[in-house]
Amino acid sequence: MAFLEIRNVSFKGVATAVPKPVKVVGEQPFFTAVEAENFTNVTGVVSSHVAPPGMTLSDLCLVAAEKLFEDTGWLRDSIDLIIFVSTSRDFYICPNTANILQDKLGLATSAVALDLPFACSGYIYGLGVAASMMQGGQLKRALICAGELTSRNQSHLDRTVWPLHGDAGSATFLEYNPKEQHPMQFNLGGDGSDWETIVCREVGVRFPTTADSLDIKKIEEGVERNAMQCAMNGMSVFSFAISRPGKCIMELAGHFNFTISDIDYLLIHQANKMIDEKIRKKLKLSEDKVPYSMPYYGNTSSCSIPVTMSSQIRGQLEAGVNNLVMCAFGSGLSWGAAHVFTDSICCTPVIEV
Amino acid sequence: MEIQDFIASIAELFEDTDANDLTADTRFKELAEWSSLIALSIIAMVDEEYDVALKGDDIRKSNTIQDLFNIVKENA
Repeated sequence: MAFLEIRNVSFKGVATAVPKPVKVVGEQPFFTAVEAENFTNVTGVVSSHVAPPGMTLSDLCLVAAEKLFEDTGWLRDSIDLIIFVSTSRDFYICPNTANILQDKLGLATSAVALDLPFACSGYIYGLGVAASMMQGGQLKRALICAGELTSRNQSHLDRTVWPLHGDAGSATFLEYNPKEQHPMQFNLGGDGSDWETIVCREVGVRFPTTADSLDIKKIEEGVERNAMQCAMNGMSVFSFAISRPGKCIMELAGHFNFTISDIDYLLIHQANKMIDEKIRKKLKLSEDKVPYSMPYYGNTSSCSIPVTMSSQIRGQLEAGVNNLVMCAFGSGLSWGAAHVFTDSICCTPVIEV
Repeated sequence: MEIQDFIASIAELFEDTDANDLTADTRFKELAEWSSLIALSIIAMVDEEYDVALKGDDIRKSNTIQDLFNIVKENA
């Protein structure tokens, strides 16, 4: 198991941005009224945000990062590391989107810029990679831009994915701080044998894109997509999601010897309400410790945790010390959990762009 | 691990089906009440009671309750 303990790095701020247009579950053509209601009862999702044509995830992250610079007063050239965590990259092959944002934000050319092309589990990996690179003290400040335009790689005719997901982007600040009392603790893992569980198949070099890749095929009633769009095996995802993340958190608490019931909040990837509630109950956490943002933002992939922070517990995060466990899981399959203390961080309300 | 206990656990998930009608040979996906939500409930029950993570294909390729039980038994 990959346990990481990182000292001297503090979580300093988070900002989130979503597009203004709204996607309503009850207005989707593949659902009857009863089906839409059942869907909302199970998943918790009422509506989410969807980016208009021309908008990219990096556009949303740019707005979130600009706001975070404004609210913290951090100088652009104080950023030594920028990580872009997403599969919604400006260019799928090259260059890295982190370089695009590095330029647009006016960061120094001496800053390290890299992409981590993770989907839902990405936020934990972004934090883990950034904090690991910073702990030596050479890199003092990091910006992590995480999120997804799920609408860009999904079929709007696929009811297994389209009504569940939303678009959102975020910016997170970490800082090297030798006085930080609480180390960041991580447990990361993955299982590539289940790579087909969530896959965009014909967009890489394993299965190269052909003219046929664009043909929309009817998989079953209410499920139509082409071979480049995200295909999710819902039952396998469910089975994985109700078992692995809970174990990942329990392993983290066991390894680093902290008590799960002592935490202030579990910030869990907003997979869907049924899954997240099963995880909450397994961990015996009360409802007030597990905030949900999925009702009006949906599952926003690697932005789930920032959206929940900005929309649900912003006041508490700005007001004092919080003992947090974050956990995310998804395509790969991959998963991760982090134990992080925050102290009066900067947390912006969700910005609508 | 007993098939009778497994059948009883499955029966609890089918609210509108008489538990006495369920046997190891029942083709559970052909029951009137069968739905994707019950499929998820079976996966959740197997996770909770047997600590086995069923895959979508396990449900897809199983016809009878016995088929499903055999998969759970192999992976327990």
